[in-house]
Amino acid sequence: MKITELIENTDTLPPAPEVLPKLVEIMKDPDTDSADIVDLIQTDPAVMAGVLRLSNSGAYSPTSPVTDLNDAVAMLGVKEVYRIVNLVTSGEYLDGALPSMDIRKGGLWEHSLAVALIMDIIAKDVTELEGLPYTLGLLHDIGKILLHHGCGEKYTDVFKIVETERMSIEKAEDKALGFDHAAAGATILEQWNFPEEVCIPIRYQYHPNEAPKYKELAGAIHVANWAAAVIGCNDGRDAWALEMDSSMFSIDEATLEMAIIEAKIKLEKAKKAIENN
Amino acid sequence: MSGSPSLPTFFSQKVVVGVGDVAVSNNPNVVISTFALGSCVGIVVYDSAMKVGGLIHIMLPDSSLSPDKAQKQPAMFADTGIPLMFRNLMGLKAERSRMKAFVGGGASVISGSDMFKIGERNIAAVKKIINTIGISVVKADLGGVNNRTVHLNVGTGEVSLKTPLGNSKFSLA
Repeated sequence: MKITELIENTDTLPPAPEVLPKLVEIMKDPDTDSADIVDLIQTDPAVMAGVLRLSNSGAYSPTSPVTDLNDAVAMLGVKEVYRIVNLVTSGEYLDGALPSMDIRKGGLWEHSLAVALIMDIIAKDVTELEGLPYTLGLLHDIGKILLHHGCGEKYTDVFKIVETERMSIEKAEDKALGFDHAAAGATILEQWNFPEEVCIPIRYQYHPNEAPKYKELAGAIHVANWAAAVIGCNDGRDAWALEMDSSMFSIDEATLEMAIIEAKIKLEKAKKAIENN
Repeated sequence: MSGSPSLPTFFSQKVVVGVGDVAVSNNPNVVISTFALGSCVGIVVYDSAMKVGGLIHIMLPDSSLSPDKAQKQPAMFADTGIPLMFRNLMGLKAERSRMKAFVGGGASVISGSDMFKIGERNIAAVKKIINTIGISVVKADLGGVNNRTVHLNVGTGEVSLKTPLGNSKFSLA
């Protein structure tokens, strides 16, 4: 089966997000200002409502209720509103359970948020686009949703290969299905018109050295995906079937372990704020 | 009163230990649980004579990484967390000679440099410290590529272990 056939034949996929790809694109323009952001968010009432809801949550604790997007941007700043749009959008896709992979409801979302927070720390110096590492973290596993809905019971074959041949999960997917969840995720993100800065690192997250561009971002996902598991955020069967290569991203052990601790603290705060919301 | 819940069931309390946390109890109605033990190592210790038990969820092997973090959250590290749990158990009248332990977790990647083998480093650190303190480990389930969930029933010493590949139960009493 090809990835494009999988996407075409899967009718349970969520609709394409409209706001987020455009937001990532306009954030690349240094002339983008708060009015541009507000205009874009206003085109989707669900995203707008989500941004206002999170702006009023314990994560930000405004002194008076925020009822208007302009107020939200003025109070929190463009960069924080960018992160909120990311959270609101990805939450809709990532919150469901993926029983074929033994991932509980909320498990993939928590993992993705942990990867986003770790990316924010370890990859901030490898791109000029401030919010990009966070976006990559939140979207890096979106292909798992596609494989769950499109492959169903056939996904059991992947675990059989992992467990009998001691193979990493993405290699076992490739052997059983003909592609892995990273390639599936990148393909659907391309169809949803996300820019290449998002699609390429996600496609090459398991083999960053083969990426035609953005090798360091792909390498950062490779490391952050593992690091999220260290803080207990990697749900699913055979979750540690990873082949790690330290040449893919330059970071020393102590820096990485401190980043893991820092991300754990941020994750606990973020979860509390979102749960109380 | 047949059909009514028994008193222990009625008053059953759940204590959840997060990543880098510890809990001890002598309340026979308490079940102490920890979820998503990946590369982290969980240690369950039980003294059946006093019905005292504890559970710790160790995240990293060595507190020298950050003495400041170790002071705020000692249970995050093996070298500061295990002695803390041991002291807390002694505070509830548990005795070293009667303590029995289960050690589980320490999942590890299929391949990678030492930096990525935190599971293996955690296992080594935990074994060394437990041996130094002198607690008897009666059961272990370590390594592999799966996460684990562990529950301890403080009233009975029964431990249940869950992984995506299956569940098991055993007693530390």
